[in-house]
Amino acid sequence: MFSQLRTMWLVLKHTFTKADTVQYPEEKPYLAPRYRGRIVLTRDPDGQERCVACNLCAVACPVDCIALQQIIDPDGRKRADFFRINFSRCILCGFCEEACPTFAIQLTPDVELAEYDRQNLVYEKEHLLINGPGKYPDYNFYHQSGIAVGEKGKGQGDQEKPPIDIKGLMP
Amino acid sequence: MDKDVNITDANNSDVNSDIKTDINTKNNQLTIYVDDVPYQVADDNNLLAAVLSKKLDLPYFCWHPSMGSVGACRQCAVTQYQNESDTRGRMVMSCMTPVVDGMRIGLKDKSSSKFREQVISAMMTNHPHDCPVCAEGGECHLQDMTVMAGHTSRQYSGLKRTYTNQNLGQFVGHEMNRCITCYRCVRFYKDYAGGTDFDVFGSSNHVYFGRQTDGPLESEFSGNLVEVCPTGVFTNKLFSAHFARKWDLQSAPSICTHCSVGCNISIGERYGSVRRVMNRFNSDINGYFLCDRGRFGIGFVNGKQRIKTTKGINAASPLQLSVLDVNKTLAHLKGQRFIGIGSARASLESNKYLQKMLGKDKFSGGFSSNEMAIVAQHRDILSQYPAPSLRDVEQSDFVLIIGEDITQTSPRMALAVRQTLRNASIEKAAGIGVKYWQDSAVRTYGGELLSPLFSLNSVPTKLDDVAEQALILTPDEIEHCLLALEQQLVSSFGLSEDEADDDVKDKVKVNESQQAFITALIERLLKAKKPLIIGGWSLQSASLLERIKQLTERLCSSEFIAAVQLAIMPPQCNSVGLFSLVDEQSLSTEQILEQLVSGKANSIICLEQELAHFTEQQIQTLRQLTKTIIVLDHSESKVSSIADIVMPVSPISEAEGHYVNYQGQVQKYFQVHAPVLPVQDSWRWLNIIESALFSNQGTSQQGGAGISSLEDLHNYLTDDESLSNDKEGKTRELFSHSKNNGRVARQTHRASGRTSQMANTSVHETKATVSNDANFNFSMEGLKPGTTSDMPFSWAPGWNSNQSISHYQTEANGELIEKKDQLILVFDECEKLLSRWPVISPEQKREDDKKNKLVFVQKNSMYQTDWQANFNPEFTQMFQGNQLSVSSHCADEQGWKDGQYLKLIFTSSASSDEIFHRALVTLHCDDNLPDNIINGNVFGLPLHVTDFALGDNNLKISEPDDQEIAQHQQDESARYQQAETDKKESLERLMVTDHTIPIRLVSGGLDDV
Repeated sequence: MFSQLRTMWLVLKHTFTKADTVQYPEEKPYLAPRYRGRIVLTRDPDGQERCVACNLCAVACPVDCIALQQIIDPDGRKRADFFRINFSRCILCGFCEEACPTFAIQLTPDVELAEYDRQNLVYEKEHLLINGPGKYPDYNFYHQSGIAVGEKGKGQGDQEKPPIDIKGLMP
Repeated sequence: MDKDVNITDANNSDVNSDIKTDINTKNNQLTIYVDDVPYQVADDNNLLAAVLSKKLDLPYFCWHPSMGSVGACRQCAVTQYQNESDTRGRMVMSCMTPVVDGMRIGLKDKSSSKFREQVISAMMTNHPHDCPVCAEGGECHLQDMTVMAGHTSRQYSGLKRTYTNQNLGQFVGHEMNRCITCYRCVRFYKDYAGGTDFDVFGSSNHVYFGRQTDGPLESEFSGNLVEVCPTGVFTNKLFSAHFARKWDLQSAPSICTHCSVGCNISIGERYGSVRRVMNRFNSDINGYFLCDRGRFGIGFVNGKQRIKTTKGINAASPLQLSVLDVNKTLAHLKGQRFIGIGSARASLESNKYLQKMLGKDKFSGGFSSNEMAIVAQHRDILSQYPAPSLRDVEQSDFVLIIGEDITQTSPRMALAVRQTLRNASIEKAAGIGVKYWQDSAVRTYGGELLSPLFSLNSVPTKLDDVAEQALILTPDEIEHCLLALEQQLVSSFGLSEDEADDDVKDKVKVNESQQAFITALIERLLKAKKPLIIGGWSLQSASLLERIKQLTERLCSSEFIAAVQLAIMPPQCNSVGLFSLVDEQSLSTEQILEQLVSGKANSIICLEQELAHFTEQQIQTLRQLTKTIIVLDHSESKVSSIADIVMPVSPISEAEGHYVNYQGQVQKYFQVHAPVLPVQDSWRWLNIIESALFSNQGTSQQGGAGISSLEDLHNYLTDDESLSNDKEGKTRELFSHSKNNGRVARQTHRASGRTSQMANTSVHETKATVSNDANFNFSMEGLKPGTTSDMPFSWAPGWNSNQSISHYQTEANGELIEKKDQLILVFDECEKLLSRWPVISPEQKREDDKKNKLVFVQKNSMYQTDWQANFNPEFTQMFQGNQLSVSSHCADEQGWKDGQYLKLIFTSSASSDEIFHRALVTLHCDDNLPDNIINGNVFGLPLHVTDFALGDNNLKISEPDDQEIAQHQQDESARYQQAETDKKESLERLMVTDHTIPIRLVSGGLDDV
């Protein structure tokens, strides 16, 4: 008897609580900045493409939905000639973001990826590339790596000594 | 212990290797205890090799299975215990420690693990954060070893050391920052391959590996630095330009097409285009190393000269060519009298098919009459003296090279010969108990000591620097000298008495230097235990081969001299396979022209045959004489341009078949990827031709109906006879021989991008291409690579680099565990062929000899000798321009000056109207040359035509006028520029193909889709 009353009380109480349901799409739920949604390719603080086409995202992808090809610019910078994500296969697991050594590929809180035609879910590089550094505003991969790129010569990266004079006599 | 049992079990299935293992266990196996687990290991190697041969993980850098140990990197430290009760032990470098019976070591113990981790972390203090942009990443030995040793993050917070790089030429990229100073590169380049332009500079923390100044690496083996370097200091530039990670490559076991050694390679493909060639370990042939022509010469399959559409065949549907279309076109040709010309770069099967289809008397190997005589001699030699494998070559202790610049024509053989020469110092070191793998100790103690190498050549060769004596003589003088050698052997040892009397009558006289050569040679030969003679086709002389054969006969009949081995190097990858089909009925190219003139035949089929030794005039004559020319080829040539019908065939990367190397060893190559129709295997085209043209004739009853795979073809061809003229009919079992235990995956298990690579065309994924052969799959599904001896690529858990091969070998640098028996053709005697194509005796030739003439000998360059390799723009750029070398004395006599331009006109000696070639050359004085030889390095000179001499009316040298010089200089720079443009265009073309990956459901022929 008591339990029945208690049940009724609990049910009736909910009549006066605030509803969790939101009027999507007029009203959007809050998604945290680290929410795993649509994938983007970001840029260096100086505006260059971050992606060096190392293929680590592609190999980490459990559904093999990333395909790309590396190309070397005349200044030595490596980037993707094409970079394609098939979002109709993507499971938004975020492994690619974890694998990315240059913070280029990042997942965003945008989850509105529905299309009537599956073909429209194939995103090329121009669809993926954004105009900013995303979640890591200061990171510039080429300043950390040892290769010479454009104006950054040998020994001019962070954490680097100037190049050794190999003809010098000092040990 | 379990592992041991497994290995012995695997061997039980094979009786031969079972016996071998038994002998091993009895004689030279001993027991070591690794972490208290007993292992049986070979007794003659070091501890590191022993541990690796048991497939245990022990990191190392400086040790290399075929270069031995120097103990430079300190990475392979293990703890050695005195006995069972010893718990403390002491640290030893396993690569420097010989194995001792009952020895106890610890791999997992704390102190040595910690030590190894510390060594890596020390190396990492300066290693740049480059892996994402490094072409080595994903197959990097340093990555593997770092993970294996357990080092994770850099603790040192100081700055990193940096270096500037050098431009090392077209092929090898340089990134010195990544160096961990293991010294492997310089040990390979200088010590192993005999290079002189690469070294180590500086000291302590400033050590630098490179050249003294920027410039292309001169060694023919520079590409091996890419594989030898444990990290990404040296990378393959051509691969980097159109890069893919190792895990993404679809690979298949293949055979190098650029010379007759038959090195095993693995070709990698991604997005429908071929990316690179890597070494594929074969203990008998190439071991761990390839030459640069093999490694970098694959570009021709992506070249713009590739034929990708048919010519002269009308397709009913613009979308697709069907067999019916081809049949309709061919129907008009029925009744024409065809001659088939095979080639030494088409597979054994295709050549045999052509021969069977047209009949033996209508088949030609594309050999000229002179070459047919060489073929006859070479066949005869192979029937009597089986040629040694490169592994056998490396065990010789005396080498005589006659008339072949092997460094340029068969480079891998030259590398083997260099190792042969070390045997003297290895033996000397063994005398004081220093093992062969103690690399630096052997080199220090052995010093300059080398096994004897004698070289009789018409050009200066790169092996001359390690030769005990090297003579440069004209081709005639070489024969003369060999005759004298033979006679002196006969007279001093009374070999074969009866014949000796005749020879002594006209005893050959030689000059002083030749006599000194012969005397030294005989002296060394008497001491040799495993002498070896190497000859070749370069001088295009059948009489030279006959002379070598007779010399070998003499030597073998002597009781004072150990059994001599003889290797003759033919020019192309399947030369031996082709001439195994040639018999007395086969036609020479001269006879083809005769038959066309007389009307016995009126049409020809060229099977991957570019008729390289035809002059422009002869090509024109050929065109006029023939009704129909059908050309089956993968690249444009002067024959394909005059052909009525051109059928595009697949080159090495898209085809399967067998090649036969210089020994007669039959080796199979597999499709790396399916070709885009209408490109298909040449035998598939031949199959269509046969059913359209020859199906009703008596010679081939049913035609090849129902042939849909190479195996079907093979059964059809071997129905009534063996595939080639080998004595034991071994080729009948070819297919059961090359069968795997199941389908092996061509892709790695990590291959990426499957659901996205074609999504730009259609989001619906296609099925993986169904493979036509039962050995490999075009996908990541299937058996792992190590389950077969034909490994598409090498990978083992924790070992991503090619050094993972140690997991598939019985011991370090030993045979593959899954190794199949070699299949070597045994030739029967070919008296009919010999009498059909006799040697023009040297006596006859010598009569016409004019004493004071200058003999022209073409100096082959490694980058120019192979027709297919010539299509690489990089190789064109490696060519330094036409050169003519003479001695300065000779130049003075002729009134020529060093560095001036000269005009050469090569004509036929019969009529000076028939011009083979004209060229403008720069004169270069080389005092190594004798006064009666001029060496030319002339681009485009037909390789098959030789015997030019100034004073023989077939070579004219004159001084060009200014206009000609200007024109020549313009042409040269245009050639270089063209190559540069070709490179760029080729890359652009490949980038486009990346977006349009062709879909093939089945890797079959035209109607298979």
